[in-house]
Amino acid sequence: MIAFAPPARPSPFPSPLALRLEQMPMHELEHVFVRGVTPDLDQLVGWEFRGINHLPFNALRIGELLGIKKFVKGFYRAEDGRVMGYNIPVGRNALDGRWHLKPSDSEPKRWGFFEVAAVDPTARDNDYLHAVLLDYGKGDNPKLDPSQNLRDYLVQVDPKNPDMYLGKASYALGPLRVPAGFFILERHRVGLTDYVRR
Amino acid sequence: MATAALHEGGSRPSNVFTRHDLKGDTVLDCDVVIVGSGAGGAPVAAELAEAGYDVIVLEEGSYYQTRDFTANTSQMVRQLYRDGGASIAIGNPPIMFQEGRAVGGSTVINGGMSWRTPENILARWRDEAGLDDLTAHSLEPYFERVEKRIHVAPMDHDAIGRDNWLLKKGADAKGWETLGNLRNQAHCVGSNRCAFGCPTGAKQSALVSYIPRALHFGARVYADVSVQRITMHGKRATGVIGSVRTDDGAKHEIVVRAKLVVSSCGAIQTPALLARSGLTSRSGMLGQNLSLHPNVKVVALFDEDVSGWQGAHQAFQVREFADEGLGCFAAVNLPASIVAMSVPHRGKQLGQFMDQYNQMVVAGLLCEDTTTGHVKVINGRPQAFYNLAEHDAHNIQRGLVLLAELLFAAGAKRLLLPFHHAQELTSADEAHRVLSAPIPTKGWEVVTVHMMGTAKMGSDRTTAVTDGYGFMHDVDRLLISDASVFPSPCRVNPMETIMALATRSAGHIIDNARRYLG
Repeated sequence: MIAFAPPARPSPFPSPLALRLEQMPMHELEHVFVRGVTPDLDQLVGWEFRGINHLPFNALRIGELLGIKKFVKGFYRAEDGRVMGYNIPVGRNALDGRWHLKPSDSEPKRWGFFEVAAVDPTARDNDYLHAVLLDYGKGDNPKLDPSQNLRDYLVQVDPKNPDMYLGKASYALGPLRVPAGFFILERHRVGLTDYVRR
Repeated sequence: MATAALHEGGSRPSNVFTRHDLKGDTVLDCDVVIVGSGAGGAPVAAELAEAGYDVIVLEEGSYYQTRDFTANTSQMVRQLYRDGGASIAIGNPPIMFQEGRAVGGSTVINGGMSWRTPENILARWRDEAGLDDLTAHSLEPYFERVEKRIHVAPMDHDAIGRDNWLLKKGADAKGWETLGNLRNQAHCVGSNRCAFGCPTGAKQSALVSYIPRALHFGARVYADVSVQRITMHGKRATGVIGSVRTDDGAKHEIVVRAKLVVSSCGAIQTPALLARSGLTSRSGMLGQNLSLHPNVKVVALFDEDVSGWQGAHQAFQVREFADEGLGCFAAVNLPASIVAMSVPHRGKQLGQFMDQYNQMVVAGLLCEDTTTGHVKVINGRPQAFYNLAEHDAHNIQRGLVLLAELLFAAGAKRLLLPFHHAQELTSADEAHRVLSAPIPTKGWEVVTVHMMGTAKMGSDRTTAVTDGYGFMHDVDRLLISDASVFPSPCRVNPMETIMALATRSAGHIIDNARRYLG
């Protein structure tokens, strides 16, 4: 098997593909999502990804208004072997501008932790067997943190491109799942694992 | 009934169970449950049992052995064919199709033609369905393995009947390519009973090849079991629920719990089983994309004694026009009772016609169809719908002209076409004249035994039901292993393609046992 070798310094700007996905209507994103392939967790671990939220009624720019249009997601392997992830808030600027992590690129705030695992076909969250599930309920988040109700599915958009992913978010209300839009992830920089190693 | 007596007599292997063994509701556990024991199910059963997995095969039909197969056509049809061989795809024209229903499935009643998938078909599957791994090179080991298991070989020269030699004579006179048929047989003597259960055991159907191998490695076969549905836990297939009806009319439920479920019921029954189980495909293609390889036949009368009933079924195939959508021409002797049923004559005229049975050559042509039909489930039972495309009808008419030319070149004196009220032809020129104008398809007599494509494979789950190994997209641990998975018609007799893909799927399961059987 050929080991994956991502670029040493991915571009700091969103690719044309990411911007094109951001412009797509929901039903087209759904089609892209369903056609996606299962991400290889080893290609996620140790990296942070630029995120773009594509919320319902995207044209109303709700994401921009709430300041959550841009974000970063990182992935790492916990000591117990589980693959985990986290979010980092990002400053507001143009969509095609740089991602400025808050409060700083060197010491970003990490929050909204989640477990990353293959979708269990027998579990409640089994809508997309070809995705991996980002389960915030298993992220050891503070008890009252509303993020712990998030359940996101993630697929790799193109089997030949391990730098681009599409997520589909939902919010758990008991047994109900309320759709919360899509998000686009694109490889950004080396993440937490690297910091830990250092 | 002789067969029932044999069942009672205990001559079957100890791990074959029938309705006589099931005295009440039954729950069984295993690693893999396979629904269907034909070309798709039996190789998976044998391969996985050989790899050490606990395999149960459920078959709706009964368990017969070679000694049960007799020259009583009527009885054989009732015992070995679903619905007595009278299944119909509704459409214009209605197309009669046959499915085997016995341990061994349709391999018990097919002609045994064993051809690898043509490379241009594989190329089409790669291009249209994204099945990049399906190449002649990558499939070579699976075809080789299958051909060894079912003993694919050319016919012995002395087992070839006069009807087939006449077909070859006509093709040679026209300068057309004729291939000696490869069949799964070991020194077939040419009793020409392939379609009613080989009475000598020479034809290496799944009944006498893969099933005994699976049994040897510990698989259990349950015959006479109708499977109602697949059981699910979330999106994981966990087993099946079926029933068996005993001779006294009692109905017992049989529940099989398994780590992996395999549906190998064929392209008509598999989509029905999935639909009864509440399964759907995001592609919307489950039960769609039905291809049939429509067949038509002609009856040619010769002056000489042909005795078409002597000699192997389809010893040759004329493939001259395969690239033009006419898969092959072949001589396909039918029992007198079936010929009598299918000709338009009545009364004394029928008697006189059938008096000439020994002078008849029944020849058919297979069309690679360009349209598709679908299978719908009505009250739990599948119903096929299919309309012959205008292009295919035109192609079949052209094929009939060519076939008529061949048969008259071989010495035929009269020819009966497969249309109601069609006149008998006495020359190739007359065939040209009669068949030059379109004939309404409503009155055509079209049959098939090649149903394909209703759960087609493809890398894109938005357009295909199953992935490149036959696993249903968006369902866990459910393999489909039969001709349902073909993305398009395969142009040749489908048995060997089904078996090769089944062997490949079994290898994939073994290589990924933790994923599928853990």
